[in-house]
Amino acid sequence: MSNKVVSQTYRNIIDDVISNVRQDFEDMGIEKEVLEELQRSWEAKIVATQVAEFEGAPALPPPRSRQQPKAGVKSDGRVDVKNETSDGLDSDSDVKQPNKAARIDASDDATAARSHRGGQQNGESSTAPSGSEGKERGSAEDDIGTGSKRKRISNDDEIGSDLDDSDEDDGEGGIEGDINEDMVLCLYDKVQRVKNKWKCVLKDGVASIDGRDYLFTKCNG
Amino acid sequence: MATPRNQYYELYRRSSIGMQLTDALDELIQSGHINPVLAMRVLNEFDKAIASNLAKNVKAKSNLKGHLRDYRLCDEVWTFRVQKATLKLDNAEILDVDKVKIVACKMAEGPPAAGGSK
Repeated sequence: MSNKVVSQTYRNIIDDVISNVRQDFEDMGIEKEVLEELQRSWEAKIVATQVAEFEGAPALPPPRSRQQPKAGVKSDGRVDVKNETSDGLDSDSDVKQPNKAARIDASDDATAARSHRGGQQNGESSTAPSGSEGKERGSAEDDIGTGSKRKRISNDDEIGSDLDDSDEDDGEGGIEGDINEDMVLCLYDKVQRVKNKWKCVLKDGVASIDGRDYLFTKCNG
Repeated sequence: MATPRNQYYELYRRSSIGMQLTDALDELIQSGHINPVLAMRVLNEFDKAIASNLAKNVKAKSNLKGHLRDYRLCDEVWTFRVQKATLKLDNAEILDVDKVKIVACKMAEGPPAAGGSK
């Protein structure tokens, strides 16, 4: 069990996930900047949890700060405003902004037209047949779908936790109590009991103990 | 392309790295940048990536002893709750934990709940 391997392993996991979903993002016509934003915010959140020492990240970037700029973009819908809100997003906001602008403020014809071209260049070719109309329909569907499908995500989480979580937990942290409750997630190879002695061979575990993460391949208990 | 990859456990989503990914995805969904289908795809990739990375890259071993308070085996998932546990790490470091919960899924099998495992 080791805490030192955590940062490298997490690094690898992040890289694997990001590179493996890149094609999925492209197929769905999502700009690659969104994927980069996902990676950034994921990394920032992990660093903020301080489960291990991550090199090159002693200071904790505020993970929530990115949410506000986006909200501002939605309500204003103006390119100028958005450019100054792009601090956390770097230049990629230029690509995202047009879509938003078209969605919220379609009256700004010049901006809208320009933005659609920008959006389509970035792989949005499939779902926008006729300018802002198509765009708006698309995003409206997205918004509607968000509610119901989000539920599906949480359902899936619940399915997972039904298996391994008890209903009568002691009230000290359920699923969300990950940080407070010391927990080991792993696979088991063998579980044996002789009288009152248990012998378990546990594999590939992630242990979260006292707010730090530890990894191990093998654990005998 | 759209085939669900069900042969990986979702249990690691409850680890800190998984929770942070879920949070990050939630934010992107709420801000309308991605849809939940894509988020699920990302989580599936995460299940896969963490499983293979743990198996491949982590060599550390450890020992755990403690008082087993209760245990449960349901759908091939073991849950142990151990009190006053002592964890011995590789570098002879010893961690004392008051209470620790161990959730263990069966090795090298598809997740029992997801079904359709290859």
